Amino acid sequence: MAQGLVNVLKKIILLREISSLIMLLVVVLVFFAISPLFLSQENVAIILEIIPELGIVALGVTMLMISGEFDLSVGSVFAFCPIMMTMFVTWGFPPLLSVIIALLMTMLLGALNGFITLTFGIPSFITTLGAMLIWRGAVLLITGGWPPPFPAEMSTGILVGRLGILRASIFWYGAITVLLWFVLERTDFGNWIFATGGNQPSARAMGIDTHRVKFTNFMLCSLLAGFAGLIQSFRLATTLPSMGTGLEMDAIAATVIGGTALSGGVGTVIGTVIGAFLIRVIDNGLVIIRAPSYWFRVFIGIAIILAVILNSFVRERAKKLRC
Amino acid sequence: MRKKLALLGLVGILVLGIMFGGVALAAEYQFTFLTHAGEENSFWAAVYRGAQDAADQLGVDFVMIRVKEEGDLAAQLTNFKTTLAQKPDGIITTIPDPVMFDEVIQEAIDMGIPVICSNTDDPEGAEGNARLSYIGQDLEQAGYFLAKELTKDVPEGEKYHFVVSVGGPGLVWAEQRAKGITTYLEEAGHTYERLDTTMKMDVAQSRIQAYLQSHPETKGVITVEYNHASAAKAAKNLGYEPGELLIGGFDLIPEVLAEIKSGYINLTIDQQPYLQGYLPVIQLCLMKEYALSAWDVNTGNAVVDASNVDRVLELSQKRVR
Repeated sequence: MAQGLVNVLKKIILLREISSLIMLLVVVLVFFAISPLFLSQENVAIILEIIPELGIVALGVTMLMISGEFDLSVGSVFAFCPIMMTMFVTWGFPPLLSVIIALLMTMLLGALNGFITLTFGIPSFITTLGAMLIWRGAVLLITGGWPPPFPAEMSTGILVGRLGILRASIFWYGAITVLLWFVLERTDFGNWIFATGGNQPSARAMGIDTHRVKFTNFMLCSLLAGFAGLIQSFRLATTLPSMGTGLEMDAIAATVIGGTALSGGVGTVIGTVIGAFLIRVIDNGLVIIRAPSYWFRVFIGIAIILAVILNSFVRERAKKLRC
Repeated sequence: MRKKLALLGLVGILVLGIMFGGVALAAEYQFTFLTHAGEENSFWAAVYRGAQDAADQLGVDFVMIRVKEEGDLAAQLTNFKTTLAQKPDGIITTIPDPVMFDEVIQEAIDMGIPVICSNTDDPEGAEGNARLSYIGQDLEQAGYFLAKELTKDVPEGEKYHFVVSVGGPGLVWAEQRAKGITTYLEEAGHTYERLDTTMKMDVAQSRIQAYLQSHPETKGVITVEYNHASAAKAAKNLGYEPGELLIGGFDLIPEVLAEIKSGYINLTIDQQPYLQGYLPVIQLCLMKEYALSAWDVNTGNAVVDASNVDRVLELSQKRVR
């Protein structure tokens, strides 16, 4: 009996997401203790409404980071996709076709990141830093600074329709999370991603086409960023050239808090989901408790450092327990 | 050791709870100010000072919520909704988009929470939004006024080329001022080019400097924000004499005042941000306490140039102007 309990506890401690989960729980409890309104139905609805946008972007960043690469351009792509969608509708394309073309274009942007990074062997940090500036600039050029009007004929229900206090976007987020979890943990491709990010030469020696793995993840990351941008623009019924500014930092923070290693080869999808929740919960909670918003950066900064320390601590402990 | 740590954590949480909770109970009214301005935007320090002064004088619990990235309207909208969930006694907000805030402001009004607009209004004013009043500058008219004032000494018949710095392309406040400026320039027959300079002064300086270098025919820089301070520094770096370029823009921040003193900036239009913070809080309080109605205030077209810069500089050090 006691042995069984110890085993369960061991399993919980061995969970890779445990440190970020504990942090999330502590933060939620603190905010709730300060203001019970934090867990009111209205406020929970607000958090669930905004979480998919950061969350989906962070999932793409996680997949790419596990395979050993970076994407700083996700914030710009986040704006690029809905703006292109709107422009296509303005040019007379049917709404659904416009959405599809815009998404294909964002995939192409990811492919371009991958192509340049892998062909010229330059760090993806540099490639995507450039891409971040280029696509943000492109968005401003295309719109001339003025947001194009959101197409009235676009039906937004499929992405952001309301079901009680929830929006459809949270189900998309859930579905994408499950899908990526399955790919990463249960398929050969998932193993290749870990191998590519963990040790590229030996992955290649095992016969894995590491370039293709990375290239696919570049496209996936970009596609998810564009898709999340569509969700935000559908939710607000507007397309702003400034959408998603700074989002790349939040997405990387969510990924790192969730236990993904900056160097690649280690990471989980569920951890990133928790990381994204942590960031948005801190964001929201500070407003609810009427704290000056300057605190946000401070708290996220602490959370990132604490999470990485806790993660390495848990990993050490896990090694000892396994022995 | 672990027990001690756990205990310490628990006590910490409790103390925090009592601190924040206690403050909230002690104050009579809770007002929240929501803005599209980023945390590094120094102009907003005076708005905050004004609002905080009023709140202190009246014993009101006041908080200003800014966004992390300048002009992140999605974040401002989320902050607005979160504020609604928190049900304060009054809300002050900027309305930097013609439609995005219509619904939530209506919702607040329907909930019985008065909403006052400060600094940036719906382009259609009261027609376009349910906010009760607007306290701020008439943006387009102010842009027109600035361009006219700045060019009043241009000799008859001469046509100048200007660069118009737009730090927040696509944002209502920036575009409305830009529209006023360019309308006047076109009417007067001058030529111009728009330049996206961002709200970061160092970036703005390098962009304006690059523009001036590649367009030596440029006779002046007009900015919809405080980047005329950056323009002044750029002019200095390029070896222009004070007054050689016509430089004017909006708002008083220490850098702008210093460059008026140095003679590089001809004039700046002050929209008196202190009032944009102070008056809405006073208004909300009067509305709550005496059931008075809201009223609009044009916080002005105050011109600051070499003639009055010293007095303003003095007040600026108190963060009032």
